[in-house]
Amino acid sequence: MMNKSVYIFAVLVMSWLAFATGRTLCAQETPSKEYRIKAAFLYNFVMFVDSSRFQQPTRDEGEGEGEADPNKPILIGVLGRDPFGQSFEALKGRQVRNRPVVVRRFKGFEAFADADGRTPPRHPRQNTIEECHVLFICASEKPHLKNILDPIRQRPILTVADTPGFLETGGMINFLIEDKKVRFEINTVAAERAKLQIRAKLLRLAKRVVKNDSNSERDNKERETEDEET
Amino acid sequence: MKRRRLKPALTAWIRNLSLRHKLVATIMLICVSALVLAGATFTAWEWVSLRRAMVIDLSTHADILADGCQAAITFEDSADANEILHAIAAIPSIQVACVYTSDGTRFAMFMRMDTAAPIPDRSHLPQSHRFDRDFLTVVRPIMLETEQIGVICITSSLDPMNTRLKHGLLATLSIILVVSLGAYLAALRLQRVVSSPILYLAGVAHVVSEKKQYGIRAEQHGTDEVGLLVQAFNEMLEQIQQRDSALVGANEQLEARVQERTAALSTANEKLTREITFRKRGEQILKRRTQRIVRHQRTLAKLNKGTNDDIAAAMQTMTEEAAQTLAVERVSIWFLSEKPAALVCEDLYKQSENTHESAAQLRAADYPAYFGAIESSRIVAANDARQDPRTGEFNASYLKPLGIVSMLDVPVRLHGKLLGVIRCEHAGQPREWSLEEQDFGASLADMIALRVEANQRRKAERALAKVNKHLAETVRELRRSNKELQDFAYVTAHDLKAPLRGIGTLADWIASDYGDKLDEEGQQQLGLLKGRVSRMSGLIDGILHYSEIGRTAKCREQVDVNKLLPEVITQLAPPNHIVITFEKNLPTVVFERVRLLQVFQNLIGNAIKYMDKPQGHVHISASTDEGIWTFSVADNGPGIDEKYFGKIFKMFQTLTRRDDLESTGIGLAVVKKIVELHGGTVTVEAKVGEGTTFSFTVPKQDAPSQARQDNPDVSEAASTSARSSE
Repeated sequence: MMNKSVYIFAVLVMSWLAFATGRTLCAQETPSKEYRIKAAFLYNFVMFVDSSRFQQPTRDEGEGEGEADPNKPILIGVLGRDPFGQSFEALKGRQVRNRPVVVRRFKGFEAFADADGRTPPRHPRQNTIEECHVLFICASEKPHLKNILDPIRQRPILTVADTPGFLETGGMINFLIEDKKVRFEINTVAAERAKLQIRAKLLRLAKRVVKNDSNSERDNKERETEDEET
Repeated sequence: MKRRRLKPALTAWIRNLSLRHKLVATIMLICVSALVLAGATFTAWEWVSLRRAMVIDLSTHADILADGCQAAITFEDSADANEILHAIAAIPSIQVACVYTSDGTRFAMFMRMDTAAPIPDRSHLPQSHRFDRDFLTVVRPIMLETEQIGVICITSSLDPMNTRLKHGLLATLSIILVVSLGAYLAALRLQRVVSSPILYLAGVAHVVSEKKQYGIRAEQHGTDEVGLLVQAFNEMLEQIQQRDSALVGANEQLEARVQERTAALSTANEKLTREITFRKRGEQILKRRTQRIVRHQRTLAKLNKGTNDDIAAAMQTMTEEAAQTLAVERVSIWFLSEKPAALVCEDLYKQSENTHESAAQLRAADYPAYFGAIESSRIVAANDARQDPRTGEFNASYLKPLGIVSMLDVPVRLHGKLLGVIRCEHAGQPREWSLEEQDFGASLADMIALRVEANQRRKAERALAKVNKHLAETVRELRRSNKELQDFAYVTAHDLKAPLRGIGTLADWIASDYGDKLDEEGQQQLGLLKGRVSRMSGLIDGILHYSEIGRTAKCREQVDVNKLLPEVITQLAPPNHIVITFEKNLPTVVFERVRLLQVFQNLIGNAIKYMDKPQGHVHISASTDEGIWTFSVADNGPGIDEKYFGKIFKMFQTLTRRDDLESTGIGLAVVKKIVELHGGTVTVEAKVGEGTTFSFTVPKQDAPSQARQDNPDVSEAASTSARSSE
């Protein structure tokens, strides 16, 4: 009698435990898996984008084009409300192009809003942001995209986001979900503008390749003026 | 088995093949094998290189695909990867292509329709490539920078390669065939250059050997080896021609020699055959001889076994056996008789009649030569008795009438002395006495001698026994008569004493009763009568004494002479003018005490009795010799003449007149008897007027007390005198 009651109790406790933990795991996992993949993709993008800044470290070469310093780590900036959570922890120690990777997080514009809720046009840590090689712009920054992208339009920073319409705003790579899989689309013009060469392999995988955006006209104008000047 | 038998046949066939064919075959063999070797090498090389090329080719394709899939894997786009893989369909040989991620899941796959190739298992992928029976599988890693993110694996069919190989092989074979044909045609033409002169030479050689025409010569075409061969051949032929003629001559010579040898051989053979038959005969003779010896031995053994005492019967058996064994008509045994010198037949056996005869005689005077022969020789073997000088004497009287031709006479000798002869006589054809027959005869003779000797000995033994028996009887009789005599002496003496005593008493009575009536003469005669009676009594006592000795055997004992002598002297009671001395430490002897006492009494008594000197001296001494004691009783009395030495020991002998001294003449006889009875002897030494020494011996016996005997010192025992007798 005694044994049986204990047994039943134990079964009950265990099933409850299993249910509870299962639930908590599922609750955390669903966003986490998506962002874990996205985090990995952020790493991998570096390998399929060529730029003087992204080069592998070489001993002989000095500071070739100023900004490219192969011995320094690849910096990945995350701007805005961070959805990745612990996703980068799994990638810790992984090297990209033989360089270590450091993830930097920047607060979103909302954090710098004044009493009226007006945000400053320029991010307070703009300089630091510009040191990054890859910049992920979280969905929280959607209203401030223009302010973010414009200053770094011609700088070789790979901008990534998972916000619809990001490419049209001048972003380079945008994540989207298709068939429950993480896919992405690419704006080649924006990349070209930033003197980043996206490899064909990557382009092949893109669901959509955008070849003009809101900045295209401006580009044309600038090119024209440059032509005139020369 | 079959192959083994085939091989030598094959080699023989090849050896017997024409030179022409051999040349062609050699060339062809070399050509074809070179071609085949080249073709095989080429094909093998092609196979290897094709495989290598295929691996390289496929690896290249895999690398390209891997590169294409790199991004797809990186960004987990399997659709894209599949698309890339499908591009490989353009290469018809490729059957399956697979991409696996590094965690092992199949990421993308391409598979041709209706293919037999299996989908490679991720867990059993080869390191770089693997050839199966029909497929080649190549595996390449998919790298992202330094990291392997997956593998690609392509399986290709080997059919194109195999087809190519097959075509290549066919081409090679056809080339070999065509080239071989060409080579054969060329060889057929070219071999003539070498073979034709040799074949020509062979033809010439054939003709020469077939027809034996050594005059033919081969034609020389050049100065190469074949040319030299032709030249040498010609020279050889010349030499052969010369040799041939020489050979013919030699052959003739040889034939003659062969004939000669054959003749010699046949004669030798004949000789040998003769010798063999001779040997065989010899062998047979030897065999027969051995048989004969065995027979002889058996007979001898049989005869030896017979222990018949009867010599006549033994002789008969012997003659019968001898006649049968030697197969002769007559066998006889003769013994030699001394006077007249003749041979007397003991036994004669005639085999044809089976009868025994005896008592014939052959006088030595009639047959001197024969007797001389048997006296001097061991065996008289006369093969032809009638012509033999030793037995020729019998011819007229004996041999011819009886038809005897051969005689074997063996003298019987005992200790070198001729005893007789055993004679075997053969009638009919003359006969040669073989050595073993002679030996047999000799053995028989020895046996007879032994028989005779045994017989003689037996006779002698018998005689001896008879004599012994007779002797024993005599001794017994003698002893009885002796005893009777002794008894008689004793009884006589004893019985005589009684009347004598009567006479004595009567004489006493006459003297006392009629003494006064007798005149002086009568008185004197009565005194004489009394004297004679007492002497008679003494004599009878002496005889009694003497005869008592030995009648009563008393037991002997240890007698100490030292103690005995004083007793003797006391009993004798010597007169004062006679001194008796004896040695100190006289021995103890084993003797009858009373007898020893008697001996000393008699000897000392004699010395006292006959003492004629005013100062008489008697000395007793003892000396020892080997096993005996010698006692001496010496005196300085009148002595005895040497001529009486033998006489004194006899009974009733005295040297003095009876009337001078009362003496029975029996004392020394008694001494002698006692001493001799105890195993000793009595001797006497004397010198007339100076003295006498009587000595007697006593054999030593194992007595416990003889310690004193060793003392040689002579010391005076008696205190009365210090004078020695010597």
